[in-house]
Amino acid sequence: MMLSRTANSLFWIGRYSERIGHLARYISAQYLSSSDMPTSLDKKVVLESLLFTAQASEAFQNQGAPLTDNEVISFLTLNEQYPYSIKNYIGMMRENTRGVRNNISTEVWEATNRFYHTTQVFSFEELAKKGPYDFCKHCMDYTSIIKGVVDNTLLRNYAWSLIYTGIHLERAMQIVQILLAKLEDIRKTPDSQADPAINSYHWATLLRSAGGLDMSRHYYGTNPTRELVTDFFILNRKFPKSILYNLEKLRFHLKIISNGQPMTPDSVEFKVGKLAAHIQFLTVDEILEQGEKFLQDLEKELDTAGADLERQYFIF
Amino acid sequence: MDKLPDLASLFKTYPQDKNFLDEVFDDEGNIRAQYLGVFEHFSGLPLPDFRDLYEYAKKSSFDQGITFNVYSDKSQGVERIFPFDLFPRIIMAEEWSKMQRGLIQRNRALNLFLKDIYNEKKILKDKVVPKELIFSSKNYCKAMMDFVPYGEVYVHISGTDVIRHKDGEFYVLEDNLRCPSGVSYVLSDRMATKRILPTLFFKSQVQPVVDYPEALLNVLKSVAPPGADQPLCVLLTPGVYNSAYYEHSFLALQMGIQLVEPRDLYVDNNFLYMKTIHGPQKVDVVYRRIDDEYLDPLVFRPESMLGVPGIMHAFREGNVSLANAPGTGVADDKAVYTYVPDIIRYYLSEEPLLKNVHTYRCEKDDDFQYVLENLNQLVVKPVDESGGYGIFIGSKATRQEIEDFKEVVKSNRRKYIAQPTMALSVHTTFIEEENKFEPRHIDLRTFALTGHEMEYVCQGGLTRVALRRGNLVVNSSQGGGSKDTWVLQESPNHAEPPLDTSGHTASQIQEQSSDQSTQRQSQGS
Repeated sequence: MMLSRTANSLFWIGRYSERIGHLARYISAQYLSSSDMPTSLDKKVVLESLLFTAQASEAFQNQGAPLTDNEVISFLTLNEQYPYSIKNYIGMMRENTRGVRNNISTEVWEATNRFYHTTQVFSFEELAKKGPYDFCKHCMDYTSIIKGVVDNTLLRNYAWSLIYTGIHLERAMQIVQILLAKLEDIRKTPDSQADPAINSYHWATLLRSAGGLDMSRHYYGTNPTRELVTDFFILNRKFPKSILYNLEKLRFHLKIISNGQPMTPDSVEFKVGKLAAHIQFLTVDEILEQGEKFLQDLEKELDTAGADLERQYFIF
Repeated sequence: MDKLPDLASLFKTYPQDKNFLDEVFDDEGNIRAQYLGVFEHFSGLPLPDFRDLYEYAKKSSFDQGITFNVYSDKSQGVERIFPFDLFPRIIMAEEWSKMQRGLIQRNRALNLFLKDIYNEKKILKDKVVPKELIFSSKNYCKAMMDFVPYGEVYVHISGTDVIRHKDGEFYVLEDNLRCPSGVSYVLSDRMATKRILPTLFFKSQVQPVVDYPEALLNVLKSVAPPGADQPLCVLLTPGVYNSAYYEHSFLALQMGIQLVEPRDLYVDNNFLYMKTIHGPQKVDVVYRRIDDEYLDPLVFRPESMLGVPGIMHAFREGNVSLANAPGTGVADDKAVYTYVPDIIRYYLSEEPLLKNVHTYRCEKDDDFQYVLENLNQLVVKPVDESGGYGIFIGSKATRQEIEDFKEVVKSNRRKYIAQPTMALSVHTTFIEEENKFEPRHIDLRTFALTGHEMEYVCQGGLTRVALRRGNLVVNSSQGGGSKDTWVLQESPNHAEPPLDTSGHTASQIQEQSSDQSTQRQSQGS
């Protein structure tokens, strides 16, 4: 038995934890690799790309600080005035976890609570002095721990599946977002198509940002290219960050949540199934042909899936 | 740097205050027998090691989220832990056995009293308790009139506050019959003790408290409307921003029941439902941790955003049980408190086992004379006001104020009662800032449960410590802390049944609970 309100909170615990981990990894990877940047690339592009990925460009502009490393990074990580900073996401994740305390294990709660408390010690001064690595590593580690205890302690039923539904939907959305961001970066550096060094830099950074550089090298045994990255991020069934992998996991968890109720064409299970089946039989060439439009359409489909899920299960 | 002393030398300089009963040291300054084990254990510890244990206890509370929240509009509030003192409070088996019988007796009488004043009103007609006192009380709940809940139980959960006076006797300070809180601290303090002082604890033969959630679930199930084969029980909380939220979630988790907020519930056709991902589910029993006035906007405060519209009607139709029943507040206010001994005699024909703080009623001539002559040592309260209004504290009044107040009492003798100032016992407590042990005032909140043909007393309680020197108010909002409370097991050679034989014994309750544990698991899937 699962309350609709509880289900909603569990879903958002999954989404927040994935978003925190992803943002932290992305900030850290972008920041670190910006120092390896081929000289022709404008540093501003990196910072704008960071803001774009975090969907924070407008909010950052509105608060009026100059576009510097330090300002952008503090804004996205520790700023308490900005509601979508990582620090505030951690607070919201903890509040959601508190609200479903009796549906999850003590281990999940305590890990989340510790994450919250240990985050309070990070300061702007330290961030400015040391850079974002420590903070980002802290977030990546803790979100891994939380997912680990979710996996190791929860029953394989609604609570577990709702958290994972949140994780996989969020991950698919974030992957679409960073692919779109990368296409934007490339457009802003016009000679990147011609210069293989810059091109390769972009794709390697992208892979690193999603925690997939090592495994893509291992899998493909070659330097990243646009074709390879598309295959890896969208179609590769073995890569846990790929769109197809996440859609298939979503189908799996939605089936548990539906508790064997028959699927109707307007249900979220049906729509996600249809989307997964469609993507499964696309080729890399077909995706590249559609280019940005493919990603924009996918983004819409994923948004719709989120809305359907809410309508079907979370209304209270 | 000064070398820090060990604990043995700290105990030698313990500043015992002979004006109060010290739970740990007797009047000659010797350790009382029941504390010898703890004393020896602590004496061997160097102070830094002891301080480490304290830090560990704090961290444990923090990780568990046992924090008080002072919330602002952000998700991050100011969080404080409820200070936990590692030096346990120990209650001996014989003392406890009397206290336990007294608590059960009190609960029985108060439940009968509530049933009576909402129905036949015999005790009022017999003029044992003045009817004006009851009908003028703002806690008398009209929505409860001419109705008896299942099992004839009104107060399922009670939290009686008890103190020990200088004479060594326990006295009831007040009855808490609405939504008493604090039991989660009893359980988490015990958890902390077991983690931090395992060797000491395991050899000390302390009564367990861990069975409380199970007993509570059994009590809730026992009062479910008949016909509910597998009664669905829920815990109703105002939400995460409530200061007792930790306790609500903790108990729901321990009992394996859903923690619901009012917005999760609705009433349809006089039945209560909760909204789940697979549609509505009928609810049979609500352990509600929401005050009466916010329970149902159709009956109580119409502007309440918290309530469940129609829940009172569903309750009165017998389709859902509420624990505690609304309207129990009428029996735990200051004025009724003074009548509890008479209430016990009236319904049970027994003498009260637990003492009330002695009360002088100014309407009685002897009492009135005593009050006038001893006003400087008494606390005088108006009977018809609650919340501390109109209280006169003789020891803090000037001579002129005392003379003036005499006139006030004379003008309306029926309105006033007076009580002696109680000398709360003190307990050895570690004062962190000073690296010292000092005596601090303590009280004890007990937890007792009443179900349908079922009674239970938690074998321990929440010992609250007034951490400020000389402070008599033992309250978390007043800088209070807590101690684990150890009720010692009876030594096997003079074992007797733990409870009054006319009720169910603790072992009977345990038998029933083991039957039901399988049901609980299947319900949770």
